[in-house]
Amino acid sequence: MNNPQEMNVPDDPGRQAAESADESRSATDALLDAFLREVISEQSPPDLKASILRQLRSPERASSVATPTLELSGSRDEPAFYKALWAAGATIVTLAACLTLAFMLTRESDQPIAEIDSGKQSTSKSDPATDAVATSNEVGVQDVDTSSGHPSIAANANDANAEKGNASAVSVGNPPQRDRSRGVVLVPETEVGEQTDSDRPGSLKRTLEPARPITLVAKRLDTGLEAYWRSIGVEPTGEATAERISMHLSERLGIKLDPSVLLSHGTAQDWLARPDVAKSLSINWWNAVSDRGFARLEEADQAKLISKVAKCFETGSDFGSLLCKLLSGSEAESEVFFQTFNSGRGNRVDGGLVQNLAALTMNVDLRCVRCHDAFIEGNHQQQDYWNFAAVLSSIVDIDRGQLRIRDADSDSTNPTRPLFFELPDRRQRVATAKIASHWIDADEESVFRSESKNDPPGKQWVESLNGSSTLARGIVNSIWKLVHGRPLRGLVAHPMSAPLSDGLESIETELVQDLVRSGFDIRRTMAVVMMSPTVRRSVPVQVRDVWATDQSDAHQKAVAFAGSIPTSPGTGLGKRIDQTMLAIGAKLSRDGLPTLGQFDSSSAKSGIPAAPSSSALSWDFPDRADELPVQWLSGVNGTKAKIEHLAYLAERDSVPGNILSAADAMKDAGLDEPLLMHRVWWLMQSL
Amino acid sequence: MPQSNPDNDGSQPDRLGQSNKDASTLDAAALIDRHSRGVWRYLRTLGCDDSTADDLTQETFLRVLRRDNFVQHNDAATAGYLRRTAYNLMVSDLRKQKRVQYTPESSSIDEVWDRWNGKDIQGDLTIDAIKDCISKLTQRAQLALRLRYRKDASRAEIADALQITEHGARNLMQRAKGTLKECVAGKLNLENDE
Repeated sequence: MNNPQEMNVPDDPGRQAAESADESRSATDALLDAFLREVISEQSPPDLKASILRQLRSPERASSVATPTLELSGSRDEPAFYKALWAAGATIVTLAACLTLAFMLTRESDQPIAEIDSGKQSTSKSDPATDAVATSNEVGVQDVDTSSGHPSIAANANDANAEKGNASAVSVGNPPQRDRSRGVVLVPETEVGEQTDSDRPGSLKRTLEPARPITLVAKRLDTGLEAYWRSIGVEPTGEATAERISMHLSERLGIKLDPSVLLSHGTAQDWLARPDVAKSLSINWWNAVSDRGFARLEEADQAKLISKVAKCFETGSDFGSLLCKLLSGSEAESEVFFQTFNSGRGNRVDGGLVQNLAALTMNVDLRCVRCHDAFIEGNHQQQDYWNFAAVLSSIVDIDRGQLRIRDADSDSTNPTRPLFFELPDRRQRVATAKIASHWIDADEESVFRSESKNDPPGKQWVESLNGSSTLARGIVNSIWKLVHGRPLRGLVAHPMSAPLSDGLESIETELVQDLVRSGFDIRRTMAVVMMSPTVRRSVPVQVRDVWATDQSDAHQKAVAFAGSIPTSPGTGLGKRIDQTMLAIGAKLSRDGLPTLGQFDSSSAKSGIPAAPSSSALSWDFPDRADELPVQWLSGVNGTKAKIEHLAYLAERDSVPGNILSAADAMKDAGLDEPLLMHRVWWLMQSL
Repeated sequence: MPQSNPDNDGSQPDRLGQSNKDASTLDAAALIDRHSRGVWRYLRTLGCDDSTADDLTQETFLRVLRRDNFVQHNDAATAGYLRRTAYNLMVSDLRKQKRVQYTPESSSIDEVWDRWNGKDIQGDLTIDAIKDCISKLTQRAQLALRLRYRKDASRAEIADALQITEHGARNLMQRAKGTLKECVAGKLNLENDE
């Protein structure tokens, strides 16, 4: 069998394979693949002995750590020395817990220390000594920053700006208050294999594991991104210079950022905690999540919302809890909060309010399903959109564009009206107040307990969101959008969304879990995102190709966050229309009609329109296109319908008249459809 | 051979009451030395990436070493127990992340693992056999495998590098792997027959 001679593997490409095209992963294939990868890529198993032994001997695990010896048979005799060592360790941890509690009691805080139990319901108040022991009883490995070699044992109780990732044994940061009377169940981690899917009510579960060291999270993010890029076949661009990175971030965050801020996660968090920085971030965040709605508010209303979010950046306080309070309608600023997202002038909850809140609270993009079921991703339906609108309708009422928060008293005279919507075939259907199960990772649709005025579906939905990974997902993507201009996991139908894969979802999950574990500390998440490899990428060489076609190397790098995109110069629609007309030798008259044959002084004699100089056109102006901006557009019939769909994708309710006129002019000038649509899309991106 | 049941935490393990070996105490370090590479490789076989395999390997040993009721009968039983624990941890980890990962069933993986690795519970002999068998492949086959496993090249890129069609590249790699399988199986059988 074992032929000592060289084994020839014929590789005649013209030969039809008689062997089976077995692409399935049999167990043997899986094993061979794993071993081959190890041999060929020289990735030997790491030596984990030191790390394992260190964790094993970690003193705060005194009550749960088994004696690190094994016997073949019979009972074990634990040396007295080890007993004394564990007792000393437990004493030290208990003292540390008492000191932490004493410190926290002197601070202004309305949030109790979370208790971690080992399989039973926990109460909101607890003895810190019990906390320490209970924490040590927690099943599950406490993550160790292997680079430093020290397990995270010290409670971080000194400085609100200090590294929250180190808080572990006693405190889990600032957990949100939970109203236990509502029956929100915390399902802690127990032994492997004990928990079943029925024990995990999806978004109702919140893990209370302590946050991992931020450097570990960053490392995992780095690794995850590298693996993601490999998996989609994209080679990231090289690293940009520190100056360029800081300039890019300064533009995105709206405030000057010195390169020294990015020396470490600690310095980044310290910078984010500055009041001026926190305020700027807050403003930019509101603009990013509200689709320009924030800019339409009165200055006084803006100031109220700015200070709320800025405080979370400054202090690291629970951002999820803040959002839930605003969503519940109980805060004084709730009405302004909802108004920020409301772009319509109608009489019902619709449009921007539904889409923006779905994105912020659940990272669900509903742009495609207001009018019909989604054709692309296949898991959103028009009914889901309107059912969610019905949920929101139980919180707010809109009358002639005026929004107000519902309350039980006023609802007796103005009860919630049934919400009807129109199907594609013009039939009317009524919406039911519920949330699609796949939006909140639940096994079943979230059907609310009641629809009474005292316990409306909207309130129940907000309660289920509080502290959940679903909410964290929405927040993480909003932070990512703030830094990168688009969410990490965006709409599949969008031309600039990163390719969706397990790898991308893993990256998102890593950030989501970290946000939950940190008690929804967005400053920490912001620091991680700011320092991620995606921010450090240089611009692709052929940057113009980013927009021309989705097959170019530059485009593929850009959409996958493997290459930076220069920030847009912020050209308004008017200037973009001018450039578009210039490119085809036309101009729009005041009444919006195109006029062909734009002459300049040099061409006046010849009567031939001069070609526009390259400097007259923006760097991102689409001067060529091989394909439509998104392939699914080919399934839409008619140029006008295509343009309308691009408008919806660009989060507009309708197509501005001058864009339609420009499109007509381009069509008359003989532009082919792909280029025409690219230019229309470019026009839609204007401020 | 009765083994401790990793799925039934807290239950009393099966005890033989007698052992062919003298009762002795193994320290944790020796256990890790003896089994950690095997556990890591097993997790990689299940589809875990490097960092996940690192994490879960550590967690496997910590869980086992912290059990009061774990009794080691022999290396094979311990290795099986560790693999089972690692498998459960991987499933739990995937559930936590709400991910779906398609792998062959653990029972078939275990069967293949036992067949290939036999008494070499770590997989070191298999690795050596693969290294030897790879050297006997043609240069083109080796290049294709290097591109695939070291660079994660796509089939199109491999075809381009070898100046063949994608279909040809696929066939080349399939035949290379098939040949490797036979070669490695032969070597290991020879080892076992000696």
